[in-house]
Amino acid sequence: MTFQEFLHMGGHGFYVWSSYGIALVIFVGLYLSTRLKNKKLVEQLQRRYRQEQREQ
Amino acid sequence: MTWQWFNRLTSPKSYFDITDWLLPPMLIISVILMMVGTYLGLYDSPIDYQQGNTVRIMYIHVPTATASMFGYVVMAIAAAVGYIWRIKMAHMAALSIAPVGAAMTFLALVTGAIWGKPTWGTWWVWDARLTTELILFFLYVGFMALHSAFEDRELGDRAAGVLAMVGVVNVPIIHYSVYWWNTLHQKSSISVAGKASMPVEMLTPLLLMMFAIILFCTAISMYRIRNEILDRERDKNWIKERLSA
Repeated sequence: MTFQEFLHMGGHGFYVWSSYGIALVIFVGLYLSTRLKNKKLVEQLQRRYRQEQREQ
Repeated sequence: MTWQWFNRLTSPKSYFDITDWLLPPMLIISVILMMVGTYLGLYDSPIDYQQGNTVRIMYIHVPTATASMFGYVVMAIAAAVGYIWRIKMAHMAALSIAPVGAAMTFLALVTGAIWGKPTWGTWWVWDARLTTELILFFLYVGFMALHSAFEDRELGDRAAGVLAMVGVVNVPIIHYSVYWWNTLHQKSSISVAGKASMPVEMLTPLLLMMFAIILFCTAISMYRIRNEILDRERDKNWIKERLSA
């Protein structure tokens, strides 16, 4: 099987590749959004705690 | 012994300690297994004699559909535990599972539509299986919307929890829809008890993807629970100590 044939998927390339492409986007998106939320929360809380300490 | 574990898991502080070392290997293993499953599914597995290469969509479609239903059951159980015993961690778990489950439902629906076009000749049909899976998507989204509609988070936990519990009746309906109604959707190809109706070269990537995707979803949900704890318990000393270190 050549690489061309692999991409072509016997004429169903669009259906197969778009399915896997959308899945990849969703999985990466789930991970990144969760990680980003975590980063934001940690930074936000650290700022808040530092401020609290100064006020004391 | 079991209760000790349960108590540790429902204590936000020990949950952080446990997931500190549990989450990285879970994520790494799930991604490696997904890559192996994708390689087998896309390249090293036979084509279907009727469907040709479109059968490769199965390795995404079936695992995400399974995860969407499994996730809902876990979410509903968590909501029920939170509702009955007023365990905060259970509510946080339910809320953390919802977006992951919604994403899996979305993927199952979209890959199903993409698979349907070349094999059935249509992207969508209002038959029992497809409609009940669409309802599952609305249940997930409804759960999140209802929760966010409350100013008081604990009230939101309880209200959305009721929706999650009631909605769980939809899950067996999805499962049995292909038997109860005459649908375009095919019946189950694999079952816990019976023999799978496919060669082992197809079954291996399918089961691999199923395990990997459920493991990945579990890890992401557990990660989201950590975010939820940070958000809700921000005034607790142990979080301050942890983040200041």
